[in-house]
Amino acid sequence: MFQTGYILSRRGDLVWFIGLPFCAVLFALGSQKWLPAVAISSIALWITIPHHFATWLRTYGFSEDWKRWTDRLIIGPLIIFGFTLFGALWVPLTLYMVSTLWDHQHSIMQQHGFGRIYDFKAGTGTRRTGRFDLALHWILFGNMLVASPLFTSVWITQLAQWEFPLTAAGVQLAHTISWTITGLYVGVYLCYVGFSLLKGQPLNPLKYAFIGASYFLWYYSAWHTASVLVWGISHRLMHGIQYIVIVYWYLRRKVDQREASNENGEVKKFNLVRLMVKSGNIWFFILISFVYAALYQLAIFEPLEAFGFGVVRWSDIYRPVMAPGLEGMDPSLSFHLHTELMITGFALTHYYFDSFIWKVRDSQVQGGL
Amino acid sequence: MKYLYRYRLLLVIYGLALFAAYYEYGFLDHPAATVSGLAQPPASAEVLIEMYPDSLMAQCLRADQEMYFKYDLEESKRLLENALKENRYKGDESYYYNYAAILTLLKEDASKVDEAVADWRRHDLTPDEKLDPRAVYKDRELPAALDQEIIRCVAMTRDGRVIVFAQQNNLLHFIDLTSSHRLHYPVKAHRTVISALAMAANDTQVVSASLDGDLAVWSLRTGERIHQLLGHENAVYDLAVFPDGIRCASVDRNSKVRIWDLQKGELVHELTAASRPLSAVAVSGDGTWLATAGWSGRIRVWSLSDLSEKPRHLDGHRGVVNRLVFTPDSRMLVSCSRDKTARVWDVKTGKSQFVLRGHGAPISSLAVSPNGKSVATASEDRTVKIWSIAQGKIQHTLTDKRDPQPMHAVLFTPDGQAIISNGGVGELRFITP
Repeated sequence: MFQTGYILSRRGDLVWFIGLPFCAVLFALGSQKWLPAVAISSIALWITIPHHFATWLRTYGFSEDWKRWTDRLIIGPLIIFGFTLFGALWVPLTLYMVSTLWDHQHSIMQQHGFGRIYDFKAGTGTRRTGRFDLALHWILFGNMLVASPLFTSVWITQLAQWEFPLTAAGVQLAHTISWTITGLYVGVYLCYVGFSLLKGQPLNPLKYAFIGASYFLWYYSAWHTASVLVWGISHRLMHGIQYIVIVYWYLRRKVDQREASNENGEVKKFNLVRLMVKSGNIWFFILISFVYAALYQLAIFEPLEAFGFGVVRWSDIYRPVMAPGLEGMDPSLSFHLHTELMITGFALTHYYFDSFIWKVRDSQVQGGL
Repeated sequence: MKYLYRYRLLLVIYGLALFAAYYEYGFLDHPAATVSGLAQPPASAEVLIEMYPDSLMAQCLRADQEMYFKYDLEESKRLLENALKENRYKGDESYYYNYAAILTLLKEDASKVDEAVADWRRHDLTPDEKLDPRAVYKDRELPAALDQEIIRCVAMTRDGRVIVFAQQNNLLHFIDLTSSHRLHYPVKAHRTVISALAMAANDTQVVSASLDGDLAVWSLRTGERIHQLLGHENAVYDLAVFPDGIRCASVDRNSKVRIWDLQKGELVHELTAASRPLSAVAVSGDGTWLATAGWSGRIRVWSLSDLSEKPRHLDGHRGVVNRLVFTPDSRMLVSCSRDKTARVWDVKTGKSQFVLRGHGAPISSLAVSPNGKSVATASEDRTVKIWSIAQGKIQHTLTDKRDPQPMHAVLFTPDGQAIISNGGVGELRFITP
């Protein structure tokens, strides 16, 4: 009936995939109680930015993937940064909407991807299971976006800004429809799981524990706290850390495999990725990730407060660096554009790369898992 | 084809983005509403409060509403204190700023204000020191004064030959519309902003009211002041002349209604009508009713035959009522408010006949057409709307596409064919619907 398979190891999975969401919620609740709202920017800086860095390591720093997807890795960012520039200058609301929706789709796909890895590792599930799982993720996550107090306030505010006629009764109807669809689909999904068991197909219980932990985090923070801070911090912690962990282990396994196959062969050249992920160098990996995050934060001219979770008032210690006083240049506009380009452009590129570098059915990807 | 397939995700996203961008481009064409120096509650506030009435977010939104729509600083402070105590609400740092601003406006202890400012700075990632509420709201009062030179109020003789208007800089202008020439040099009519004007004594005089607490009666023939009516102890927000043309009623910030004899320049009656400031007054054309309304949003209708009788209450507005006007047949009363709505009331039954919704910002003024069939409303959303009184529906929306400005005054011409409204700074415009 059950067939267990781990992504990392028994202990590793318990810590990073099952236990992390609960710890993330506790940390977020603590931040809500004791830290100013700047804490969410600090989490973005110290977790989200390094998780983007992990993507660049995986794609540009790893020769195998670079050779495989050279054209996409060059053309994709060019198109995305062009789009971001156009959006930031002329249609900022559209840019915001695209990046927000893509971010949500990206979050769904990451948790779905981990679920697929669990099935792959345990040798459970079929192609049809993947489709049922994907639909489950879309419906559960979608229900949270439609029906939770936190996200209801977000979309109501947005629709009202667009002069969409809204009433409380209409919003409640949308909630009812969303819950009905969710309830019906969960019923269908449970039937599918039941039939699979009857047909003798085993289940990986860790996959369901992982999905349950992920949705505990999202649903608890979207319903019971109605705080952007709690949802944002807990989500970013789970999403970012789990991503960094999988990239680290993926690269480490790939490097180990390559080194094993070259054991008596070529002279090993210096390679930053190999240096960062090889056994015993995890602190170097973490250090470089943090250095990248710090440099990125300085490069986008975002406030220094994010470095210290708002506890240290950096702006009281250091005066802001003056903008270069170039003649005929509006510093606030150009700086804003630069920041917008960096933040949105990098995020969209990360979403795009992740859409093709993590196909679990891909045999080359399977090699690193 | 291979490349189209490879980049299918980007293509789909681009397609959606182009569609959204097209919509956004059209959306940005709409005139933006103004804020008048206060935190404007988001358009979603009412739905969100109804959906989650007990949430901290709802308390903050209600605090915005109390301040923006009713100028009720005490209630706004109470709501924010409850929502922000022990730093519970971290959804939007702007509420910490609002709280500090309110404490400054209420002239609370400096240490308490400093503490609130420190809280705002702690929660705002990029606090703009230029916006420090201790500097911005020092010596300020609600409602915030409008920009200089804006035309705030207008009055016109019944034959449409003479128009009198007051600018924000307290100057009263007399214009002969037949020749477009000034009748007299502009006069510095009051010490502070002129808040209301009305014709009197068979269109031979004009009465002005001011935020300095005084009223004055002016001769249209000479442009000179005939009487100064002293007695209000606080800002006078509105006045209305009785049909006999020799009496007028005025209302003030201290909730007082005073009735004056314009010929003698004497006070003849005084009423205390509410606990909160009064901002609008009207007298029906048949001399039967006196209506007052104020910052609470409640309208009171008094019988002029016996002012000792309890007034009838008309409840519905959720913000400061800016203007009240009776229809020529005295059967209906029309009101407009900062809550972005105007309402048509049946005076006898006290029931609201229509709620006129459509403006995107507070409605500053209104006028009823001479035939009593239409209402014109002027709003801070930079539009004037014409409504049918019989149906409660919009007939026209008038916007100055060349240079849209918040509207603070509106008037029908005597033939009802055109609307006079303030446009840009220091301008009056005739608009034909």
